[in-house]
Amino acid sequence: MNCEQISDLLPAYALDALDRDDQLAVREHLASCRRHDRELADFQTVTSSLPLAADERESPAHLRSRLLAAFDTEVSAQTAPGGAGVSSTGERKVVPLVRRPAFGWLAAAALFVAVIGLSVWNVVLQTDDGGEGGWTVSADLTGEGVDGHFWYLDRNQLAVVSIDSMPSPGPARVYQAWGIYDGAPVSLGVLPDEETVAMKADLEGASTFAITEEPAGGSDQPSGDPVATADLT
Amino acid sequence: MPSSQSDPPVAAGRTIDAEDERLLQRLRRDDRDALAAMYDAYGRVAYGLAYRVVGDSSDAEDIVQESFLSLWRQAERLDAERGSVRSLLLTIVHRRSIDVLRRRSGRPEQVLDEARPIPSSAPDPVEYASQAEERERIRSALKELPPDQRAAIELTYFGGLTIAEMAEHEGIPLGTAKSRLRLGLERMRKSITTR
Repeated sequence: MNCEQISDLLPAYALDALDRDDQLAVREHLASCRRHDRELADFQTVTSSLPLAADERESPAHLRSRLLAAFDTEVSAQTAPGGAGVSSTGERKVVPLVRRPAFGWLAAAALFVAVIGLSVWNVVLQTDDGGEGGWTVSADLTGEGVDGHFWYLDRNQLAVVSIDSMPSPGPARVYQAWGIYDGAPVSLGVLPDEETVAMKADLEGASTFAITEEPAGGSDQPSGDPVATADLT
Repeated sequence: MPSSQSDPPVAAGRTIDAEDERLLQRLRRDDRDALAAMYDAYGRVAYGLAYRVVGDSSDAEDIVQESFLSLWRQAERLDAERGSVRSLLLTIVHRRSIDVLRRRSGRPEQVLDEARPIPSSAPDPVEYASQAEERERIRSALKELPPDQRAAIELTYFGGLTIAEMAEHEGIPLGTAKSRLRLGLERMRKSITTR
């Protein structure tokens, strides 16, 4: 899409009213084009206030305690050694790679994805040609129950994984990323529980990006079939 | 668990100030009281938004709980100076609510990017008025729109329709639907920033 087409979609983008493909296209364009910042900010001035047009409602009394109980459970799980797993709410819980890098069980840091902040990702894109033509690879993640996308920028050795839905790993299990080179898997690290993860990875020569479910802490080799893959060729 | 009992709870309707940043800092330290304070300040508006969109108390509860937890999980990379905590939270609530609607109807969900901040150039109306005043302002701005523009915004934002679905719902060309959204948002922006 060009700037004119993106501008045409900005009001709907600000209202979260685009289908997935258009939403991704706009987001990818905005990551590398600053021309739309002012216009988008104007629309977001309105959309950030729109929630107040809904009536406030007294939330059920038990919701506060339920929220805090879920918080307690998640914090306890994270601080337990090897405590990767599933939260009480059934979602994949946070693997505290970014939040708490000092914990002992993260000592095997080489196993973990070298996650960089999304702000860094944006900076990289802004200083790069980036945009629609800038990505070396832009491919959907495929797998049963998986909805997501994978991007790779070879000059920055930057990989970005955006996962909208994927089955939760089992208790004390994690998702681990791999590059497949001539059929041989090379670990890229354990993925933190984030919808979007940007990581440093050299995928030159790799034919496939794959995600497998592994025991907490990760594995040297995949222990099962991938739950998600992206074709890099 | 760090305790910060000496910090007063955040009052609903206060203007954005260092309080948000302090709360974010405490959330980054997994401060349970900070999460409770945020819930006390924003729980009602968050629940009201979720309920308005999904129309079901059970789903609304799940959305609110997971939205607050998501805010906490992302606290490390949130910047209060780039958008109020309330705006960020309600953005999360809205997107999760829309996704519930789309799951119900078997439509593809959105790409979640919940930490996307409101650009710093976007003035947060909370900076200018209390929440009650802001509420009145946004409601008036919405009410004063021509009916077709108001319907376009309500069907997409609160109804969870994509712009193509909204065009079909209204029986109008896609280009007309885009125009209605643009004109409606522009008119509302002028209205809420000049009052």
